Amino acid sequence: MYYNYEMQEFGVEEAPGASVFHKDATGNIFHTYSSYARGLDILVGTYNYLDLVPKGRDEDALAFTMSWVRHHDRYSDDDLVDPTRLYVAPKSSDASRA
Amino acid sequence: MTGEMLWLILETSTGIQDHKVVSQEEWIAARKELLGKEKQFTHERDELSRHRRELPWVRLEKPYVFEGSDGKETLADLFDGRSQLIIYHFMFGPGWKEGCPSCSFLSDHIDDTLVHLAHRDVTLLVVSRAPLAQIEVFKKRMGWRFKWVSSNENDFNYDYHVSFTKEEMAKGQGVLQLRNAGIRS
Repeated sequence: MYYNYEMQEFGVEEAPGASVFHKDATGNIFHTYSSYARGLDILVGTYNYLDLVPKGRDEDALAFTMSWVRHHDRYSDDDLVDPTRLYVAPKSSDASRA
Repeated sequence: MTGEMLWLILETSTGIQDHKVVSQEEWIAARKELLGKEKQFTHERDELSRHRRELPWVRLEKPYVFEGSDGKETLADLFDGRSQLIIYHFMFGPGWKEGCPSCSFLSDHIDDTLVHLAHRDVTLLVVSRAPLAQIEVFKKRMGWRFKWVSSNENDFNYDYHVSFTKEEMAKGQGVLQLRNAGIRS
């Protein structure tokens, strides 16, 4: 599949991105920019704070960089990240997929 | 957990084991050296942003109609009277019970910036391929206020390479790296 301007060897149904458009005075619309994957890093303000502290983002040993992230209503004290696994929704969640 | 994995975590996760401690004077000297690198990076980032603005544009010929809480809206409507539109492509497909956690993390940063962006002629909103009803249930759960429309009935997500047909997916090697899509370059 074609993602982030190259063929990628993973098959996914949906992927993240950001796209920018301009509309001129006569109503023409232009696509000016799109960004994907780590190009979206700068939109995550939390990362900018984490980049200031001694532990940094602290993601190197994780199965994937955001595997510690939960929906903001799903963090709990006993919900530890298993760095060897992909995202697993907490047991209390009715989520069927990551 | 294997011993090797534990070692890996200790080694890479903190960077705070046996960290060098110095006098205030030595620290200032080291900090100033880093400041030089930070300033260089800041200027390079400014230049990169300039190059981004200098990219050529492509005029859209295809009409897109989205489904939102205000009914059907064209891409032109989504500009909401401004000349610049940023769309965040949020991973939330038809039938999913909740949106992607990483996209949710990113989207937690959206609401409070909207008023500032509006005063710089920028409209920012979110688009997903899930039907509107599915979007609105999840949006309510997350407490978000930003505009979030559905591209379920148009090709927008496919044209901007954030949704993939079964044929496109078949060209990959399964879903093993699903979550890596958003976070590794």
